[in-house]
Amino acid sequence: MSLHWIRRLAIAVFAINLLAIIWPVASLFRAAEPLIFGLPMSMAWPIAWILIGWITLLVLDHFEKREEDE
Amino acid sequence: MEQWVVISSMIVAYLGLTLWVGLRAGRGTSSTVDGFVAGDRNFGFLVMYFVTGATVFSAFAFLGGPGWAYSRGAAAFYILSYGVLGMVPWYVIGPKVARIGRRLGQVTQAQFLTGRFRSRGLSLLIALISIAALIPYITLQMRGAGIVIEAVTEGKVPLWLGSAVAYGIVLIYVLVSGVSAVGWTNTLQGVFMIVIAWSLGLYLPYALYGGIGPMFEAILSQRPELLELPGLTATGESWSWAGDTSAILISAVGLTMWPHIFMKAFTARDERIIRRTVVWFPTFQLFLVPVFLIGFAGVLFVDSLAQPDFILPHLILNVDLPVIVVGLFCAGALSASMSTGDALMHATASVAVEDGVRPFARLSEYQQRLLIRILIVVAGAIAYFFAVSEGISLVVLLLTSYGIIAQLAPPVVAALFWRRATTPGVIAGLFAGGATTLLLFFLPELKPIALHEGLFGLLVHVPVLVLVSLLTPAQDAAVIEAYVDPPRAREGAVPNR
Repeated sequence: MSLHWIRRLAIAVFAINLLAIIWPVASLFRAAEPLIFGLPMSMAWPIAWILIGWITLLVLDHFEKREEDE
Repeated sequence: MEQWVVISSMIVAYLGLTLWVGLRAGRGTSSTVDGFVAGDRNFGFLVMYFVTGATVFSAFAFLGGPGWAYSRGAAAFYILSYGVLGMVPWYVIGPKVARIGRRLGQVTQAQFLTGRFRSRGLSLLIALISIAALIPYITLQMRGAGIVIEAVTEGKVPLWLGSAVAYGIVLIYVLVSGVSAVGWTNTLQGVFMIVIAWSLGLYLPYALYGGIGPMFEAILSQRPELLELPGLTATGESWSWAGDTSAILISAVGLTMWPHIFMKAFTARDERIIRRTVVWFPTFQLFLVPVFLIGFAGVLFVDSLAQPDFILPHLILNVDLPVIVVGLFCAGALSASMSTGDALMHATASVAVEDGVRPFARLSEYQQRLLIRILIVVAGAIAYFFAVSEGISLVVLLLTSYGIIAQLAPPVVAALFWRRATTPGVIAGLFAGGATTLLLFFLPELKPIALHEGLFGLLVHVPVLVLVSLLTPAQDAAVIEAYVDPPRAREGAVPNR
C-alpha cells in the first residue's frame, strides 16, 4: 500500500478514535459491566483506544521511515 | 530504627542520586544559550521519550490521578482518553517546528511564531500568557512534593521544608546544567515513576482484594455509580457528558502547546527522534492504568477523605505495607513532581528572557544565560511562596490555564499550514480567544451550554483569526515559503549543529 493511503487510513483511525471517546458514542460504552480482563468496560474502552492509537502510529511510522530512507 | 527514619534515608538517597545525575548531565554541553535552553539540539530517543512522558505526567497525575479515581470514579478516565489524541498532531507539527528552529536558531515557542508573524508585541503577549500559566503549575508540583514528604515522615518534615529541600535540589541541577539536567534527571525519574506505579498498582488490588477483577466486583456491588461514565463530580453528583467531552477536547488541543513541552522540539537531535517519541508515547500513557487502580483500591478501605488528593499517601501509610514500599512510593511521587517542576521552572525563565526581554533589549550570550539563571531562582521563589501559603485554589487555576494555553494552537497551525494568515489576524485571534475564555471563566452563567470556557475561546478565536487575516494585506509569499518550507538544497548548505 502506498504512503498516501497509509496516511489517509491513519487520519481516519484517529478521527474515529476522537468520536469514540466523546459523547455521544462514548455513552454506548458507559456501563461498568461486563468486566473486561477484570477492568470495567468504561475503563477498558479508552485503554483499547490507546492501544489502537499506538498500533496505528507504529504502522504509519514504519511506512514514513521507509519513504524517508529512499 | 523507626519507620520514618528509614523512609527519610531512602528519600535522601534518592534525592542525592537525582542531584548527581543532574550535575553530571551538563558535561559536554556548550555554555551557550542554545546549550542551556535547547541542549545543543542533541537529545537522543531515550532521553526524548522520558522527557516527554515524565514532563507530561506530573505530581498532578501521580497524586491527583488516584484521588480522582477514588472520589470521582469513571470521571478520571477522561485523562486516559485525551493523551494519545493530544500527542498525534505533534507527529506532523513537531518535526516541522524542529527543522525551522534548527535553521534559525530558535529555542522558544514565541520565537517560532514571531519568525512567521513578526511582532514584538506578539512575543511579549505569548511570554505573559506562558508565565501566567506556568507559575501555578510549578506551585502545584512543589506542594505535591511537600505533601508526600510530610505524610510519609509523619509530619516530622513539614511541607515547607520538604518542598524547599526537593526544589532546592531541582534548582541546583537546573542552574548548573540547564535543559540537559532536565533531560537526564527525567530519564531517571521517568523509570522510577513507571516501575513504581505499575508495582503498586498491581500489588495493592492483590493485597487488599485478591486481584483486579475481584476489586472491581466488590466496588460494583457496593458503589456501582463510581464505575459508570461519565463518573461523579467532586461533590459526588453525576458529572455531565458536556463536562467530560469538553475536558477531553480542550486537554487534547492544549497538551503540546504548553511551552515546557513545545520547547522540547528544539532539543531533539533530529526530526526522526521526535516522530519516534510520538509513536512510543502511548506506552507511557498506559502508566495511568495502575495509577487509577491504586485509587480504586482505596474505595472500600478508606472512609471518605476531605482531600482526596491525599488518598495515595493515606492508603500507603494505612495498609501496613513494608517500609521499603513506602519509601519507593515516596521516590515515585517525588519523581513525578520534580520531573515536571524542573522543566516548568526552566521553561518559565527561558521564555521570560528570550521572549519577554530580548526583543526589547540587546543582551550578550553571557547576559542572557545569567538572566535566565536569575529568573529561574525568581520563578522558583514566587512558586514556593504560593506553595506554602494556604487557601489558593491552584487546581482551578491550572484547569483554566489549559483553556488559555489551548489558544496557542490556532497560531501554531496557521503559521505552518495557512499561508494567508497575517500578523494582525493572529494577534486579534489570540486576544479574542483569550478574552472569551477569561470572561466565561469569571461569568460562567453566560455560557450557552456547559462546555469548557477554552472551547468557546477557540470557537471565537478561529473565525477572528481567519477574518482579520483576510481583511489585512497578505504577507509576501516568497518570505513565507522560505520560512515554512525552504528548498532542501539551501537547507543543506547550513551546517548541522
